[in-house]
Amino acid sequence: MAETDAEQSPAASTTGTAVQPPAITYDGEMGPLAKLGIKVSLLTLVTLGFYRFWGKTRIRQYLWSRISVFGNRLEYTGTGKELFLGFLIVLAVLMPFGMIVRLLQLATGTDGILLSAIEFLQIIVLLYLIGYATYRARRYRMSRTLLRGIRFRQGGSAGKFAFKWFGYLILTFFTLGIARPWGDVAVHRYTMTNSWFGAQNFSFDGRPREMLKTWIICLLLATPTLGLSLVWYAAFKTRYLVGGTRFQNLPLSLRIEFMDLVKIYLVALFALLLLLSAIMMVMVAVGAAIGASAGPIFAGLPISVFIAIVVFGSTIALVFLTHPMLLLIADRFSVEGDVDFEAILQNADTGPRTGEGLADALDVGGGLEVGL
Amino acid sequence: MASAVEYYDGKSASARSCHIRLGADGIVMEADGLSEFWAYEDIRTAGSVASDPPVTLRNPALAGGAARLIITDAALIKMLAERCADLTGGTEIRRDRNRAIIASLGALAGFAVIILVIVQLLPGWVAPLVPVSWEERLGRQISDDIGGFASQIFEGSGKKCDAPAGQAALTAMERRLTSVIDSPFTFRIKVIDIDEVNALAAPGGFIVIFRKLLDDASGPDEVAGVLAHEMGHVIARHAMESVARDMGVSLLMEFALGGFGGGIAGAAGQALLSTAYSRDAEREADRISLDILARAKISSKELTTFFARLAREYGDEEKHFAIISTHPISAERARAVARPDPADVRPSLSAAEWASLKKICG
Repeated sequence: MAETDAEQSPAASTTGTAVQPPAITYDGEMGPLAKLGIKVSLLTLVTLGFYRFWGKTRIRQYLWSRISVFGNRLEYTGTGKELFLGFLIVLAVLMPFGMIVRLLQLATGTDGILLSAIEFLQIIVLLYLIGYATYRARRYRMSRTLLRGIRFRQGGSAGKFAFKWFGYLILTFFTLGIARPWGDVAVHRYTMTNSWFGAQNFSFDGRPREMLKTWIICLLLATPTLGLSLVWYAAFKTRYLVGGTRFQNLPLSLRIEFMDLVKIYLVALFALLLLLSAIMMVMVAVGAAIGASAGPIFAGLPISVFIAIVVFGSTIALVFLTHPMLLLIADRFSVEGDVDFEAILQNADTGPRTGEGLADALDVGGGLEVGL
Repeated sequence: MASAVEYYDGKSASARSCHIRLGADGIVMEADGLSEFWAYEDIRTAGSVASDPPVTLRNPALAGGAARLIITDAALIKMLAERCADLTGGTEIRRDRNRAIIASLGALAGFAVIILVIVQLLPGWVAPLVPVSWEERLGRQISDDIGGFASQIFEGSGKKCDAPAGQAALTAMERRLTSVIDSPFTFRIKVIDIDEVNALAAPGGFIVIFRKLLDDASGPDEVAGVLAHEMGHVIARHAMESVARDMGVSLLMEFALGGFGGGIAGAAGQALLSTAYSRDAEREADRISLDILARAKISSKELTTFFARLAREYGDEEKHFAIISTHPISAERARAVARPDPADVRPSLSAAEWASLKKICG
């Protein structure tokens, strides 16, 4: 927002500042988020999973509305009904497909080269679909995100994206991992150059070769550091890719460091362990109270752990992963220069009518990924 | 009165500072070249942050519905709240939430109906369409694996028993039965060394008898009766139907429950539904077996005593588990299969053959 706008804007003048507000602020709170998470999980459990579409929507409404971009709150305009319809459509398509695959397996028996061929084909199709579904889900989320009355938009083609994503996955596999930066850049470039706020798209400028040295070092150190070097690479990759992204030719920046991620992961892991030990303790206490021997208690353990993880696990992820990650992003994200909101017009594309069915069925990208 | 607010027209991202007047029926926003009227009853807050200023308002009645109004003045928000019937969309939100719960319960019920269709109808449609050669391939695999499986649960090595004399007796019994059956399947019968009274029919004509069934049998006609019963399953393609049913159910569970309730609901539902079906299947196999025995001139008396014995041994247990037990209660079956024999019955095996069959496992 330009300074002249800020003077006109009552929101800015009442706070008494003429400077541009921070690029992103996030004022979500752990308590309400945990409460919402548990409420949604319980309803989802009671309906054997069918409430998840509406639950996901409620959580997104909360998170979106707690994120402000240059002083204006985001708004999530999607509905549970849209997600549910998306699910029904995909179910109608995937069920016959799954049936055919199983019949083919039956036709070929349980061994032989034909079966291997079918299984191989199945993996290929599944991987391609994962890429496809991820992009489609993002298209839906973007179209349901509103800022200053203007919609975000994911253009491009999910098929092309899936082809790129999958192609580089294969290439990375056959080059023993070396090609990874090329894949990371290609996927990010395609996603961002097709990301729009209103009628204005993002651009990306970056070279895989600049990531190569760090990646090779991290790859070589992956085993001795028990995978921690891969977290290092994740932080580096985020800094590099977001750093190469521009909006209205203004460079973006997200200065996430290795230790930031490690801290978040450690806290989340600790919370998960705490949950598991709490379940154990409750089980033992219940067992002692009803005077049962150890046998039945341990027989009941897997099912209670499963239920507890279903109810509390997603809430822990929400409170101890999504929430701190948003705080971190809000703290470290910046845009160099003033965004000219005056120049941004609405896009005509109101987005897909239903959303995320495929991502839901494949259990990918249906998470709570936010914004950029 | 008039107060300053921030207006976004939903066409451009630029903020327009304008003045707002509270009229009789709605608000009027005015600025250079802008004059907008929003009726009080149409105004809603946007997003889920409603209480603390600044509050964002929207008007879903407008075309596009993307225009937003941001009000920072707490006094103005209060005045608006008094005039707008449903500012926070409270009744809408409550209605939508109740609808969401009803819709998800409805989806669950619909899903249950689909599962029922898959369990009751689909197997009957699919099984006859599967070529015999496919079914045989599948059956051979199951028949090859069953011994190893069973040996982990029960006593016994699970190995195939193949003492030559016993094998010859088994073949003789098989011929006697198959000579009166017209079926596209070739029956392949084997005995495995498992210390348990049981027999089963895999798809494609593969029949497996557990050793203890031979040990406990009162005579060859009892084994012939059980064999005829398993042949009944094969002829009615029950094994294939159950494979098709399990496939359909697991497929639907996988997708519909989104890897969520799949664990609990899947296992419980499948167990309950597939047994409810297979009790009917058992009755059908019983009927077919009586036919086979009658045509092969083998007495069904020993089959009756076999069920009566099962009823004595497992009687009480069976009553408790009648709902989830795969087989119809044995006492009930014993009554159902009690039928007068034809006049000219002969034993299914000679005494010598029967003695060798009992020693098939060495």
